[in-house]
Amino acid sequence: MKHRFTVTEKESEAQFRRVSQDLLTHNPRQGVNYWGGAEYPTMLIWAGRIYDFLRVLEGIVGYHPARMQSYLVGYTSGWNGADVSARFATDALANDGKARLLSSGSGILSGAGWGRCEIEYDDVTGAVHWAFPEGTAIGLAARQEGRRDKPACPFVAGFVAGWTNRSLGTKNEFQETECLSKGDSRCVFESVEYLRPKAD
Amino acid sequence: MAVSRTIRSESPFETIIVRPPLDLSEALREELFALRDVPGWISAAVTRRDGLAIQHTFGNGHEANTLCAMAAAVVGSARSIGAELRQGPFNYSIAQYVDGLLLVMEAGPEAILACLLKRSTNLGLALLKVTQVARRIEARLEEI
Repeated sequence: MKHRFTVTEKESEAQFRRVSQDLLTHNPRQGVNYWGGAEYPTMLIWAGRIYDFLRVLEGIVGYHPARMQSYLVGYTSGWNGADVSARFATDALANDGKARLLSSGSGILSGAGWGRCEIEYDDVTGAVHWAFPEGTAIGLAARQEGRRDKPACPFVAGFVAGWTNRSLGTKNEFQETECLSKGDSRCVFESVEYLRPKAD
Repeated sequence: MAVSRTIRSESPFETIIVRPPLDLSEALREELFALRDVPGWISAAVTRRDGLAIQHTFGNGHEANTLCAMAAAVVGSARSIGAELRQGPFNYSIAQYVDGLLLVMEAGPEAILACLLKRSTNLGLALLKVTQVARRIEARLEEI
């Protein structure tokens, strides 16, 4: 069976109020925010600075190792985000626990300002597909820096991998198959069992 | 303010590790163990271009994962330096330590071979043998 989870523009507004306001608490003594009751300090950061993490690193060690390091950081973020969100019982959009947690990713991401996305999950083949029709915030920021020949969002690829694997109990990798900064009209991340990156 | 909860932060490498297809890892295991004939050989690992371990002979997986990530960075940095200084493609890198040698070499377009050797190793002989194994790894990867 194929599942499809989307967030309309109206729902994105509601998710923004929930994710970026209701679920965020401020510790005035520290001047630091916390999200969803988790102990991780949370802060606003320019999307372009997340892109810089890849850009600076790839200038030194090359694209593939830089991609993996950025992916790893995103992965932990996605994994932990899903872990915290697993405790929000009201996120139900589908009747299956795993798919429900997976589905909540789209609302969380749009509400947090990462980009409005659609998730497709085929529970027979296990294939998962995250598409951002307007691009991710990082993709939009990267596009401002100029055209690239390699994808700009390994951080988001890692994030959706971490979120998906935590939700479904899988160990899939994700690759960026479409990227705004490469000239595509949207950002797309697709699950694969095993990537085999090659040198140029 | 919401009550803080302790969340176990998984080690990225522990949660992210994807297992290579069995035929791939078995083929490379054979090639890696051929390195035992190299005098002074201690351990070796084959890593993906991005630093994710494919196969290794280390007793400790954590050690192998760290080495693989760093070996990919070594090759990536060396390639960047070569391009910056217009010195052509990368061949291999040797790091000499007080207690040993680390030899890092490309094994075709998709893999990197990292070998830990004793400090007293005959480097010329080791290079010859490791280069042969790297070529065989490249050929095996092309088949699979």
